[in-house]
Amino acid sequence: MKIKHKKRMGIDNRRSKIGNGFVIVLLLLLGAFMAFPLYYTVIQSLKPSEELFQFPPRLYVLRPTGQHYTELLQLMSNLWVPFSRYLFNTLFVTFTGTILHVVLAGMAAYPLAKHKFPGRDALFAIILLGLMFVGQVTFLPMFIIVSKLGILNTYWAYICPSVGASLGLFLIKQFIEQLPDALLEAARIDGASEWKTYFSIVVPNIKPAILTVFIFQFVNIWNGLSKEMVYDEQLKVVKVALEQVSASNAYARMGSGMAGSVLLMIPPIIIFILMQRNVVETMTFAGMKE
Amino acid sequence: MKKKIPYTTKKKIYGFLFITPWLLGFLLFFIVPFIQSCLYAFQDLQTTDKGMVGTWVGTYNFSYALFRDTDFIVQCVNSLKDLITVPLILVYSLCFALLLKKEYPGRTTMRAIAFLPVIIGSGVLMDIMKQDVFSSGVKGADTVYLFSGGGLTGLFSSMGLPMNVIEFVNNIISKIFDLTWRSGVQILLFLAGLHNIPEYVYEAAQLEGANALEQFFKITLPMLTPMILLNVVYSVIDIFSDFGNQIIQMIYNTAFSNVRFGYASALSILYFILIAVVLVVVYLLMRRFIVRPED
Repeated sequence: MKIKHKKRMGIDNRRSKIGNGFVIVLLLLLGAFMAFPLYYTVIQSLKPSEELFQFPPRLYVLRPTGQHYTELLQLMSNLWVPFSRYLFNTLFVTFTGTILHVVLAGMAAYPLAKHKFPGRDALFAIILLGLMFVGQVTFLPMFIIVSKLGILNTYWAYICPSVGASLGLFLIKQFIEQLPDALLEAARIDGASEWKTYFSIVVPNIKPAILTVFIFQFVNIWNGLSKEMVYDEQLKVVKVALEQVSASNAYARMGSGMAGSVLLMIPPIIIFILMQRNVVETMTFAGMKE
Repeated sequence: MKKKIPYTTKKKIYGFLFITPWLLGFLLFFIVPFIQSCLYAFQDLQTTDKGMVGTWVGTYNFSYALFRDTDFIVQCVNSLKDLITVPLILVYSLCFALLLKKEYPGRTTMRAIAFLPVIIGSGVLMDIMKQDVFSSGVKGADTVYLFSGGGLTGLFSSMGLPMNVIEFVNNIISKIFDLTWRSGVQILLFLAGLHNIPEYVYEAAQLEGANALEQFFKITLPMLTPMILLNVVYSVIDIFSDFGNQIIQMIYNTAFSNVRFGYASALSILYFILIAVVLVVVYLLMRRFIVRPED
């Protein structure tokens, strides 16, 4: 009976209370599994040392303390490159990379989705290949190219590779394809140029997709900044600096490491919260075709 | 009088202009590295004072990887075994998407939580959690460091449970974590797919007297087949390119610890081919089931 209710999702509004209760319990359970690691990390970072190494461990904190955070900041301020420098590097690189990617990928997606030109399908197939072989497998030749371009050990080593990433293009293209042709046709008849059509008709209509890609890419760059491409301490990013700090002190790994990872999570989460409404819209957007 | 450029030509010019900047990046940071790596795979690269010098060695790197480096084949087989998770991910994310589609108070919050793995995933937090909170499913889940210090194992054995029961429970918990944390994107895609199915199809089915199960198997599932294919492809790639994956580690170490760029390139290409073969097989198997709505 319960299974039947589950399958009926979104179709039948006259569901029994038992069915609703079942769904809620199931969601809460799965949600707990997803949220638990996050909760646990935050809790661990707030525990004083004597609680941190207690056995069996508690899932709550008796006397919360900010000592790991202050410790971490002290460690950071002792470095010869000031922490603010790392922070600036990270923010600059992440934002530039994300914005460049979203703008360029969005513009490329438009003709791919709505124009007909010879070789379009072949081009798209190659782009799909890029989507498949993304990540560490192409990392090695990428490293060589970056060094050959002479941008090794500069900000561009962080930024440039993300410009040619294909995930954003792929997602945005899927959304532009759903826009009715009549809408674009109307703009054309009213005398709008392609440029104008794209920026004042297409972009506002796919805003949710663009923001989703923005978040994806922001998180990707934020988390994935490759330390091999940049070795100058002045140019390193927060993540690498934090890893260096926690690696240099095994004991600090537990407390300061946890504190550090909590701090590192904050920017992506802030970006997500700011854009969350639009991301959720993206999920439902697919339903509003015409 | 200025000569008027026909609209279609203008459209072509604009299309070209729109694509070019991105395409340049794509060429430079995917196509060129890709070709470069193909070339390196046939060379033995040595770092000398004059920079990197390559000697042409033919298919030596490939034959070495396939016939003499026993480690590589073993790891490939292990990677293939990891694919067992794919059907689990699909079933789980489909169920979760079905649950998220229904309207109820707190749906937005639930959706945000479902999106959590995507936000945080693969980041530093992920690295730390994989070591400290739960073990990575990739290496086979024998230890779950759910709690630092003793770990879950210690906790259970202090409760007097026999070792095999502990192992069993550990495995299950770590598998569930792995599943929930790998399914973020898949849930999103399924959700978009579910919203794509027009409501009137269900209404018609209901009028004809189809029950919920029939509706699910005859409407929802067939209509979702394109999304299922997309999700299978995504999951396969995701599992193969996970940094915890032994082959990725092996390639990485060969390149950067042992500084054998040529050999590492050959390994990457063999691995490319393995992924491509798996995806082609998946596609051929699934092709006949894909339903394309006629409109």
